Amino acid sequence: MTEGDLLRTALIIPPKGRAVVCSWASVPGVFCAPFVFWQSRFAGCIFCALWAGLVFAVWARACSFAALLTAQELAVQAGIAFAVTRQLPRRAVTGVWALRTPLLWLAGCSVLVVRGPGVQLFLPGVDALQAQALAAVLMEDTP
Amino acid sequence: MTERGFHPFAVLHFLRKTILLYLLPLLQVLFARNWAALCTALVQGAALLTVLAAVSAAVLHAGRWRVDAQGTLRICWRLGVRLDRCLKAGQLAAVTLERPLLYRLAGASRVVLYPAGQKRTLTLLLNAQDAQLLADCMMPCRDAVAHTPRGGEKLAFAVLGANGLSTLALLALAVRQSRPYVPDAQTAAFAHLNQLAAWAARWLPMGTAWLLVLGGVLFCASLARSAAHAAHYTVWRTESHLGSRGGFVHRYEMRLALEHLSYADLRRSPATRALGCCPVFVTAGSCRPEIPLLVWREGSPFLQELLPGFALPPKAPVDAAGRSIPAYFLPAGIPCGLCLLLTAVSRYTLPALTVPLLVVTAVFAALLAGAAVGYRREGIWLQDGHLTLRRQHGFHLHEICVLCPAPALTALRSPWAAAVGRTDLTLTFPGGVKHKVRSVKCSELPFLLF
Repeated sequence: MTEGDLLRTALIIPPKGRAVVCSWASVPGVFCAPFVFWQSRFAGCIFCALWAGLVFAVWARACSFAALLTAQELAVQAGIAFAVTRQLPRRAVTGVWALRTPLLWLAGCSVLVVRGPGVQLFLPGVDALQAQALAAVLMEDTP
Repeated sequence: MTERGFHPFAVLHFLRKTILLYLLPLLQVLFARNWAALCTALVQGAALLTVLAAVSAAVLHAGRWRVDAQGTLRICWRLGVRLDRCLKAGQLAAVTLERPLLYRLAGASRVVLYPAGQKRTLTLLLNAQDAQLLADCMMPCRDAVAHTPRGGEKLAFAVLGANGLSTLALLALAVRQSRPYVPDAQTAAFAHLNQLAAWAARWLPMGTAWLLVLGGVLFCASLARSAAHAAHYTVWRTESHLGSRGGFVHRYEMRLALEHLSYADLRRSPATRALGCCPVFVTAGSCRPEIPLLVWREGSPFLQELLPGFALPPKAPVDAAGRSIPAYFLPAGIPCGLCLLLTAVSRYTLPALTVPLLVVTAVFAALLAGAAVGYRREGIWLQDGHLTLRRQHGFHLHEICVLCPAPALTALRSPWAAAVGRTDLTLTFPGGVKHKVRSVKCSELPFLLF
């Protein structure tokens, strides 16, 4: 994948990447649920419903995620009701971190953290090839 | 340059951070309330202080710094473990040298170095000559064109005088409230209800009045400090750096690298409008609060000479149709409404409390008026390649010209804002300093990608 390809297409989180992100979001809930059920069954049910709602919100946010690379900027948008757009000039990028866990590796995805002075952008669960190409393109610009 | 050491105040600087540690042994005195426990705790505290003082003195003795031929500052701590830290002159956004009265008496100087694009700063306590030498090596001020801007003292003392008069008025009110207690018939009847009501009727008006006086005095002290800062003020500029120095008791000097300047902030308030001049602050790296640069008289070219390319936001009011009213008016409106309600209630239940509450209400009403100014004038514009923005914060209207080429942008659109095509925009500057402009039109932001 080249810079031209990245400039033409927006990066989104593929279904497998969304599944990984949702599984991460569900881990604390799964860990805490037995303790809440221990207190009372009703509290456990309420807790599970709330956590399921939270995981659904994460899934919806992952669905709405889009990253756009232009000649000057990298912009990331996420959120449906409360949409947040974060935009970082390419020349301000000071570093890129790429994270691949076994689960991400199985899903063919990667987490990318783009760092600038005083700011960082998270690109969770994007396609590994696209993430690799984006990291290479952004690091080319780094002074 | 040969290696140099730190000032002995560096030990005190370190020991100040460990003060809670000496209080820990005193905890046991709370449980065993006797002299023996107190003596033991004091001995333990003294032993801790001695050990830490000895260790920090040893670290101080072994700690060295130098600036090499390439202009890189190398700080080296050696005590069992060797810790080196390097900072290139080219990566330095700002340096400040402070000399409070105590430091001047001891010949010390506090140097704070702000690396570009980083939140962490580096603080060194050095001899006054060493501090000056370090600043000259890292940010030289050769061929500097110096100016002595006028108006700073006038502005500072005008604000201080106005605040002093208002504090005196509050003091008179507090003295009046502290007169021997003679309850009126209504309060006396109310006081019969219970002990708490009697206590409130006696102490609440007086306590509120004295709290207001305390607030006024603290604000006066802060303004007096600012006024002392404005004395003997000089600002200078070279090809690559900008600097200022001044101060009467607390002397300070700051130097900024022009290439790392984040923004210049012109602050308007009712006082500055009355006097026709306003202070300009600049920042680089993670400098917070911003560093005062000069007091600018409207229309003078002085600011353009110091900061080439500086632009002000357009003066015309912005189109406020569809702008979020809660975002502007709720933060000051809620406390103002509550205070008004309390004032109305106190008029019938506790008349002595009405005047102090009116003072508090007036403060919030002034903040509400400030919010109204922000509602009509806040915005962001792209002018001559520079982003300029205007935002209201408290009593001040900030007019900001972005000087760094690459601030990061964050736009947050609530469903209500999206319906009217508006967004809250936050600019994040290198070093993590943020500025938010509320409810701006998306159509006026061509630089926003989404």
